[in-house]
Amino acid sequence: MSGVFYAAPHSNIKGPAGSRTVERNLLFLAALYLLAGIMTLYLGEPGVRVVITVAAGLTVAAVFLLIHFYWKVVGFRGDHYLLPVTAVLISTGLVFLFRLDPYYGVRQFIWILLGLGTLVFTSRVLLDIRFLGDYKYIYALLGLIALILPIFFGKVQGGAKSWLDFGYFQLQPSEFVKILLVLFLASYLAENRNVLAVGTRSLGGISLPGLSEWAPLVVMWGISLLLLVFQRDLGAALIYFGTFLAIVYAATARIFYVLFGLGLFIAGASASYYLFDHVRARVLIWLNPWPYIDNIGYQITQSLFAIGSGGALGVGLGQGYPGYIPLVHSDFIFPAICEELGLLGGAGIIILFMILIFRGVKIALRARDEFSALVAIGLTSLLGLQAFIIIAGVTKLLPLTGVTLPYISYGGSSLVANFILLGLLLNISHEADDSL
Amino acid sequence: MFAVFLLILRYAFLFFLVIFIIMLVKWMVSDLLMEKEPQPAGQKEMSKVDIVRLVVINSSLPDLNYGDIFLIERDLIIGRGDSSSLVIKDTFASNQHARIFVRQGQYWLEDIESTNGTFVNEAQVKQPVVLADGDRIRVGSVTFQFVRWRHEVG
Repeated sequence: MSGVFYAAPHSNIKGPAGSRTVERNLLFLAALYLLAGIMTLYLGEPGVRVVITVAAGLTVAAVFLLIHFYWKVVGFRGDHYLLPVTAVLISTGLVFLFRLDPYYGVRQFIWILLGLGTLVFTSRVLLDIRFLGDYKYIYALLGLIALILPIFFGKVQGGAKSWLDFGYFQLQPSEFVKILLVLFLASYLAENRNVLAVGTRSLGGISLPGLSEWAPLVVMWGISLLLLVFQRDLGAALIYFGTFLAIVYAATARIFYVLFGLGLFIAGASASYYLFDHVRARVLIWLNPWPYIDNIGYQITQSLFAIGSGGALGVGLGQGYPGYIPLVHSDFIFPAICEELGLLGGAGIIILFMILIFRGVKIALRARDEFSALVAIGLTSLLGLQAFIIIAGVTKLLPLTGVTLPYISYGGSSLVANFILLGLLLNISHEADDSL
Repeated sequence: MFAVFLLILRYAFLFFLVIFIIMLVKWMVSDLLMEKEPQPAGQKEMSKVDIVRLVVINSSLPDLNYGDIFLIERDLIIGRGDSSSLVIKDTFASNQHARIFVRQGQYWLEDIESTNGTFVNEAQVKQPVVLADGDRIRVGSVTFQFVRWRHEVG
């Protein structure tokens, strides 16, 4: 019964996409964008001009193009749109950080180089990500350790105790645990998908899988949520939970799990509203920040003022007053963008995130195997939820929970983790079947 | 003069962002349109590097041994009767027991109202399910492993 093997060279996507021309052209545009921003900052600065701004801008633009040429030479078939979109988001972040405070700009510049190094490393070493599916309990264990460490050795920053202090820099383990969580869930669900989807017993007309199948999932989820409650990092808990639901739904196609999860979420949210003062304060200033404009509502009202004063085209780069917003370099960078680039710039950033999500879902649909597809969906949900939660938070659509805006906000851990995420998505698209 | 130049540069920043998004969307749309064009028949055959097969991993029948391989090249019916394309002489198998079919590059398994049921990873198949690499399919006392991988050509 040994059979015919189809040994034919793999036919690549035809046309302009095949030779990564689109990626190159888009990266040139992204470089022009970055240089226009950097030159505006350099020339617009009264008094002493900071040369390092220009040097950093040129280096980042060059490194992005170098990565493109490297991938072209080694024949990497990853998605063509992810890198340019990321380049524009990174450029926006770099320009605004130099504009807000060159101290953060320089540090961000170093983190960007480290992150890009991680991206290239990921795209080489983890090229075939399917072997990652074999180590799911190691991920669970590593993730737990990384979440527990800050509880004992952590440092409180912005109300959340989720930082490890290393002197020169600080590390936020929960940024990396997000990726471990996706790998664990994807691997677990790829194996137990059928049992969870079909169910082995019935309860009130809804068929449910046995306890042994879904107990590890619930335990994993419960422990990470409990830890996050202890670390008081609500934004991360929300992202974890949303991603968890997205992967479970993608794997089983059963709306029951989503409804059940939403029920759990509502219960958890109400409980934390009564238990924690800082949660109550967040809800209070979300409903009406104006009576508290002098104290707890100061940040969000300044954010709203900044967005409002931007108008349609913005006041122009370097012309606004974003210094009034506390934490403007990290969680609150989006209002600063809206003030200086206006509605057009703010909407542009949101569109870029939507395009990233679109490409991510597309990669998941074309993935070779169950595990890769679930990883792609998980990572995409992670990115999309994080961007949505913080943009919704600073525009007062949702109660504010402190998370960084991916690729734009200042933050080393977040940047490196998001570059690993990007690398994994690219690797999955490299493996994907173009003929589907 | 310098102030005018600076003003232009300032809005060039926003302008390039908008141009980038417009070009990005334009190229993505043309990419999508290209995907919709049907591939020529010959090309489709060329790009087929999928290797899909069923491997026997457990069997109590004398004519089916551990490690036997069945390639799946088109739709396939598993059953006891000779009309089936993959014959299992098991008393617990129906004449036509289960069907494997291809839809848009996905391999589906469907139970054709068999008496004793078809199981994927020991869960009974009640509606068609998509098979993934490594899934164990059990019909009567015979268990197959579904293997799907891309054949890398150097």
